[in-house]
Amino acid sequence: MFPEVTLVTPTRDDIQRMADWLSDTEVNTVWYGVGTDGKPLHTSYLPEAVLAGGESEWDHVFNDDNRTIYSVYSEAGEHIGEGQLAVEWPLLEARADLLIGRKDLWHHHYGTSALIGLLDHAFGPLGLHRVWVDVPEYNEPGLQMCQHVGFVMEGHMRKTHHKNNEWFDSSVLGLLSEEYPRRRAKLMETAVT
Amino acid sequence: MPVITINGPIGCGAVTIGQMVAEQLQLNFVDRLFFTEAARIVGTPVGTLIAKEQRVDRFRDRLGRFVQTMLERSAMSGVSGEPYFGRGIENLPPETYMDLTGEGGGVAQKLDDKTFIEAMNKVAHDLHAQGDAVIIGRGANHILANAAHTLHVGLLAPMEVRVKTLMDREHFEEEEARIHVEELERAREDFLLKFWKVHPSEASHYHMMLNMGKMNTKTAAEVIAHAAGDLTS
Repeated sequence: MFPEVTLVTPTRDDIQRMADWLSDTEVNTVWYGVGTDGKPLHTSYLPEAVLAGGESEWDHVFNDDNRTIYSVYSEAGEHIGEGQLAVEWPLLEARADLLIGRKDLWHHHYGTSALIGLLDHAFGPLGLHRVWVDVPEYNEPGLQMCQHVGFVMEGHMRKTHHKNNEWFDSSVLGLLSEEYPRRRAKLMETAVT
Repeated sequence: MPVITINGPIGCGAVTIGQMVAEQLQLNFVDRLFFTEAARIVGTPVGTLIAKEQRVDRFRDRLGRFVQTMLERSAMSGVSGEPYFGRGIENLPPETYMDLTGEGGGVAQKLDDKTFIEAMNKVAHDLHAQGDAVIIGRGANHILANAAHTLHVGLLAPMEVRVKTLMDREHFEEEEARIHVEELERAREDFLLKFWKVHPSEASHYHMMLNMGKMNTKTAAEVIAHAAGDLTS
């Protein structure tokens, strides 16, 4: 069985935890690395900047119709990571990003559960047609997780991902709304057995 | 700057072979990304373009709509269940699949042929201009028929090989896989006949054709990589 997780609206405490996790080299190494100023990079927003900003900055990031950011919580009620859907409404598609910040929970299927949660939301209430991910070559576990969930390799591009002054290959994987139900069902079957 | 197009019916191993060739020659690999890029140009969901290629009503889509309809029926009748796999499906006979299908459906919107083909042409020519790519299907070998430094490879495979691929990859039952293969092959033939007036298995449109019923994927990838050497030498 996959662990239970819930996706909820982030709080300021959650974003502070994100900042702490991202400042850990082991975490930011599998994520976006650090910028030229040595500070860890994140997708869509920078936790420290949001925490330092006012209400309008917070609203700009967390009340955006084109980008939904969720905190991932474990069954025990602990904040363990963050998921995002950056939606392009005319195309009915979203790019998904997911980070489990709690290193002690890596390789325990929390990422898989959170990704299923994101997909359920994308293909359910949001009514999207395609969700895609861009996985750099240095994140092999992430690639395997996405394929396990049912994402299809749509393309693999050479030296398109920049991190810490180096270029890396990245894979674009996609999942369509009509592909998801069967693959989700199979995934759940394997989880039970 | 080689560009290699690989075309073949579903289940013949084009994607696996394409990835192996790309890895071996350090090339970009472009499969469905071709359509997602075209969709971006047109400004419409990718399903609209896929519907152009796969106009035959696919079994999987029908199944998806069937499940959706069942969910709606369950919701209306107050039967609760886990999303997508709610109770009630087992009570319907299989022939209901057909009753529930209709023309189009899904997110597919109307897209005129001219706009579609212009977007496809742009993506193919952009990829060719950029070079160093393996492109899977989507009529790329016809769009780039006479383009320089381009190798066009056709694949074929017996039905049993393709059915087995689908069973392994998509977890289909044998009959379901067979229907899927037949439907998608019909759609592929229609797609190429409509837009390029050619049959996909016509050997004259390729530099070479490989029979995947007689060759394993590793060997096929090596043969293609070797042939691509002529493009750069």
